[in-house]
Amino acid sequence: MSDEHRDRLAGEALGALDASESAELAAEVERDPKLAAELDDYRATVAMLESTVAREQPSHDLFAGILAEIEPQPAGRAAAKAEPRWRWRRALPAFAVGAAAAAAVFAVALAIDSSSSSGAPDAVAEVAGTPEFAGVRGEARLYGSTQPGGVVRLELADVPDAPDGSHYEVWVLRPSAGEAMEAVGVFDAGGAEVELELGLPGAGDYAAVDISVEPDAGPPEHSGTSLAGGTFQRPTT
Amino acid sequence: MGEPADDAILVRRVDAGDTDALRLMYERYGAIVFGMTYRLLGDRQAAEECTQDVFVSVWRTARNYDPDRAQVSTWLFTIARHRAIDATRRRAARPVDPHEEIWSADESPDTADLVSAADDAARVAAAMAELSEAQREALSLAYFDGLSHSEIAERLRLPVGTVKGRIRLGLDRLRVLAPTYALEAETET
Repeated sequence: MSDEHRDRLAGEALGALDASESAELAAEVERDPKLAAELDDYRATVAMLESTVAREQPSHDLFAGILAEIEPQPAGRAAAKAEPRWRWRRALPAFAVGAAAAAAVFAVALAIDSSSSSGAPDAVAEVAGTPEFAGVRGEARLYGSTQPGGVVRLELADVPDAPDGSHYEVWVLRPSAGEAMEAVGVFDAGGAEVELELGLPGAGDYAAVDISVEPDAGPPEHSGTSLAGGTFQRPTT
Repeated sequence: MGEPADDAILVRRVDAGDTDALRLMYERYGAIVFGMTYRLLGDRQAAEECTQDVFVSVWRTARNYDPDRAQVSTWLFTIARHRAIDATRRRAARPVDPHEEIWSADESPDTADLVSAADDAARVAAAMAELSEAQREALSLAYFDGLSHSEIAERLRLPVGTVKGRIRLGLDRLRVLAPTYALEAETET
């Protein structure tokens, strides 16, 4: 049996073959008992994996939660650590709060002077879609984040339009401000390329960005469903 | 072997307060820890909390890691095993809340079964950690993300044949390693 055959058998056991390749292999397996036996062996290995390690990915913001727990907390914040992992907090610009209350569909928040995001960013996050939105990818960059007036600039690719009756909301995690995510803006239109520039809620050591799917006129808390997210990396000096 | 030397360096950096090192450890093993705890706890939120506890524990106890006693991955999955068992026992022991589902007598986790399942999960997780970085990366994208060979090739910018070979070799290795992989002495203190 060739390595090429075994490559495809392993892929079939994992469900990693394209449909046409899978069908072609199935026909070969039916004709060849040795291939069938080898496929059974691979399937047994995958079954062993599945019985002990679930084929599930954690939320993209989980590491941000870990960071929030281990970063030094301001005095008087110790009690908060016993609370649930996330305490979502909305810090929307006034225009967005009004829009949410009216259950409207929101315009992209691009009210920031583009000159605010020129030069080298303070930190960059690779943004990746959650399993449900695996095609989404992009980058988030922080500018002027250590002082008031900073912005986060998002460049996303292959964003689907928000599902009917919902919109997207952008959140940032600033450990120095507590363990809550802060909302910084909303949008609903997807596209092959989506660019957003949103004001930050204040100076801080931003650790992560998250884009949630929120029901229109829903509660102010994070819905728990994320489109994409990423953690900020600062350039090494 | 995977990259035990690199892992040991990461633990030393974590002990020195380097959050980037913890992030690298999470990127390398977080999905496996989560998958393992998800299977044991059967609940996404509980598994995420448990995974968070594991990495917070790594942060706080990194100085206790002894490379002479166990590989980093073994140490890490032993912590995960403990946390998952603790979480299951806490859930089973908590006061009855009429508004929540509770274990019925038939469903209550038997301690021996629980420990056995946790041992199996830690053993398989440790075997996954033993794969080369390239094999683990390709296999994880197929297993956890459900990507096809061609999608993985596109994501990693590699020829499809290379991806297929890495996945097959990774599964071959797991087939040999997982049934016989023995957890080393527990080192979490």
